[in-house]
Amino acid sequence: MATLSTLRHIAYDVLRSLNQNYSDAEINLPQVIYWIMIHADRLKKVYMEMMDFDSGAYVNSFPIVVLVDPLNGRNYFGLPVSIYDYREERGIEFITYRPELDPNNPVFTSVQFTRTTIPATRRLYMRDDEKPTPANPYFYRLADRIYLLGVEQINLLEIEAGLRTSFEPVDSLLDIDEPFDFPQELIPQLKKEILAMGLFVIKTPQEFNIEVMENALQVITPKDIPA
Amino acid sequence: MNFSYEDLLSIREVIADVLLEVDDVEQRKLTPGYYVAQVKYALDELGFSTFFVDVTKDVVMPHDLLIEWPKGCFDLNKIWAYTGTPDDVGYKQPVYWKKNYDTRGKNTGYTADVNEGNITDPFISAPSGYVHELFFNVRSGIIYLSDTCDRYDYIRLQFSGTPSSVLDVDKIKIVPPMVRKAVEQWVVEKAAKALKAKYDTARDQKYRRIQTDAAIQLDEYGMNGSWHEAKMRLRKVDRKMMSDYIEYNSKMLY
Repeated sequence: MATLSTLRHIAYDVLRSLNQNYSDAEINLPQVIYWIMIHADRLKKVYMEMMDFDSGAYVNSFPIVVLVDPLNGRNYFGLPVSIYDYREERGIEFITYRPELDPNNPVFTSVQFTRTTIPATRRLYMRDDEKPTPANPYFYRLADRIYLLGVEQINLLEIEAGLRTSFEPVDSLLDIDEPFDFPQELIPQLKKEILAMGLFVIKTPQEFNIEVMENALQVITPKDIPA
Repeated sequence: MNFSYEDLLSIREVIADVLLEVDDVEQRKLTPGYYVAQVKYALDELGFSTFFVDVTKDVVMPHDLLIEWPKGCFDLNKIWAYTGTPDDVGYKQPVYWKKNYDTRGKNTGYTADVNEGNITDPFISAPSGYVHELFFNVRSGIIYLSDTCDRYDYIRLQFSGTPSSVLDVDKIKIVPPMVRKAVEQWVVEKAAKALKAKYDTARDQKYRRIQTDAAIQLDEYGMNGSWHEAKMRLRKVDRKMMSDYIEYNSKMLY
């Protein structure tokens, strides 16, 4: 992966462009960064969908401690970061644990959890081959918790999860000088969207009209993203 | 055709190809267990048609002369009663099926259309000279043996086994190599059939196409596909047996 631009690069670039045209505009750095985060979040989500999830470039792996829900005894873990909400839980690339059966294989080839939903679990118990077991475990999502099925009897302590993490619009720990985890080829589109938003903000409400709105609200669709 | 149990292929080996063919490498569309179940389904269907899994089971003669129908057995081939042990078989005698034979167990008598006391029946003749023969009948999953079997130590059952139940207790290596192609296409067909309900649209009928292609190559009810080929391979007699059989016939010595 090439060296990534930092958030500061992008933010100042946008700020400079806006100031060139509207020197009296009161748009500051935190505001631009906020815009970058929300637009980059959406673009990155569309981008990964366009890539058909066939890349691990934006998947982050986390070792996670498994907890037991005291109310119902179910195994679960809380999502350590926010993830994208895709169809079929594609925001979760994998969840795996090491059953220590075959030490020659990497953890993620050992036992992978299969994604399911609560209504679909009823069917799983209809056939022995599909029934949740430690060798054939499942996971389902309830809000920001991921519940694990089939491993209740083995005292599972830790799993590894690969997650497609999204951006936090407001992140107090954000370092704008760190490489920005965003597809480089989408930065022009990102800038275009942010400038359009800046234009919209600056001109609203004094010069608000249909033309301004059309220009300002144009959003990037999947077909605008280079394959 | 025969095969060594060591040559059996693992279920995973078949599924590895299937997953590529139905575009479900990550197994997010169907569960891993679904594919395993379809492999077993295919083998069972082949087994029911070709009886390719022969099983022998020795059972200690029960005191009540009732034997539970063996697990995994779907077609009983032979029953022998013998003295001694399975490792040292002594005197043996075949146990025959007796029509309508019904008993509640040892020393409770029996009923049957043909029986030695039935000498006045105008329609069914009483047999003679077979009071020492051994009989059985099967009702509700129980093999009922005649009292005459009590003289023996063991019962040997030879039967055709349901492949998914009998082959490899771990259920990992169960696919004979000569039927791999048919099993693979069977699973592809079944998986695509399941997937098309959810993923096919009016514009994109990908899984319908995959299913149709697999069904054509499989040709389950015809004679121009891998299914028929698999059945023929399983039924085929080994060349040694065939040549000996021809030899016996030519000499008229059996």
